[in-house]
Amino acid sequence: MAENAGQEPRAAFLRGAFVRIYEQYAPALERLAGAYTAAREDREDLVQEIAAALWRALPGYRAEASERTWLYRIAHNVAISATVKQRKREKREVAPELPLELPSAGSSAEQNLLAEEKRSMLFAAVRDLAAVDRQITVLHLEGLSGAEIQAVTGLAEGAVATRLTRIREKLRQAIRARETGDGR
Amino acid sequence: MADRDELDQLWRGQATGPPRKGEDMLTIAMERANRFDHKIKARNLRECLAALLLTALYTFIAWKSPNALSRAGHLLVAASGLWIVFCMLRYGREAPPPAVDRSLADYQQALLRKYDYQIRLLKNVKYWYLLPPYLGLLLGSAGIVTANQAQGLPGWPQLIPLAIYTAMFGGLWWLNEVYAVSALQRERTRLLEEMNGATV
Repeated sequence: MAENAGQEPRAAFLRGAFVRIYEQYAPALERLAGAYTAAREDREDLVQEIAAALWRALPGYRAEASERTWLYRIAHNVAISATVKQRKREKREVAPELPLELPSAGSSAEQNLLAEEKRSMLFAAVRDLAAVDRQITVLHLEGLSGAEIQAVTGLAEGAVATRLTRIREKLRQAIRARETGDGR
Repeated sequence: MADRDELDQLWRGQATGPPRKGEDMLTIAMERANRFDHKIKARNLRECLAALLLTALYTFIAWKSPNALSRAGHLLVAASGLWIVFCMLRYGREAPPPAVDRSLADYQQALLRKYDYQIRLLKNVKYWYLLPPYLGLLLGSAGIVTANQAQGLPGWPQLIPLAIYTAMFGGLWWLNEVYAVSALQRERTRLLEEMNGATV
């Protein structure tokens, strides 16, 4: 990254890179935060923490990894650190669920309500997964390829595929349990 | 539920709130990063200054001490202050956080090692942080008691500051080795649960 540039141009370059990366990935980072914490204020706090880590790590980025996989590594690592430091975990787990998308003009209220419920169940089920499974699921849902997921998690592509099959089944069971009221 | 398309649709349908401008988030990120660095530096500086103050104070007390035993004790306390500064500068009070751009598996292992290091460091606090000055205070008090007795004065009043020192050092020991270690162990357990535990 502009190795030979002077201090000022480099600082400006880093600022520009931060703004570009953040604006490109902001919605994905919010969704990722939603996979770790339910309450809106905690999600916002986590996104800011990820942004601070991104800013600190940016000078060390050497383009050996793709920008996307590099960012997801940072985001998940910061999120896992934040999760284990969570002192009031139980309290937050019963915090209000994520706000859901407003109904679009053409869709019926009933359909939207159903979609909202399902979305809440999906996010809650993802939050209940073990960390590695949660990370794989989020990356998969964000559209990363098996090779990219391998680059982020360090797990072999084959292992990722196997886990994804198992995770889908787990999510299906968890959502079914929630739908029938057997879940938490 | 739930073919891939439906999952994707549900996932991406999450409301993300009004988008924050990149420039605004940059300001927040820089403030947070600076706050973190400043917090660490300020804490280390505070502890070093307190240790140097301890050294200065007990060097003066040693100079005014009535006999060799109390002087030796107080000089030991003064030297402990320098020793604590050396240990903090050399080893730090906290393990540096692992680089956040590692792979998730590497990062989690590094995080576990950090917790182990931090717990070990806190369990050793009694040896490098508490014991040297406490031994010095014991010796110093013993010297003062001896000096008082030589002058025909009672030795027991010296037990009062000694009891205060003991309570203070006991409190510091408890904060480090019981309270802080327990908190770290809870976080470590939670990390292991996150890594291994499938709660679904």
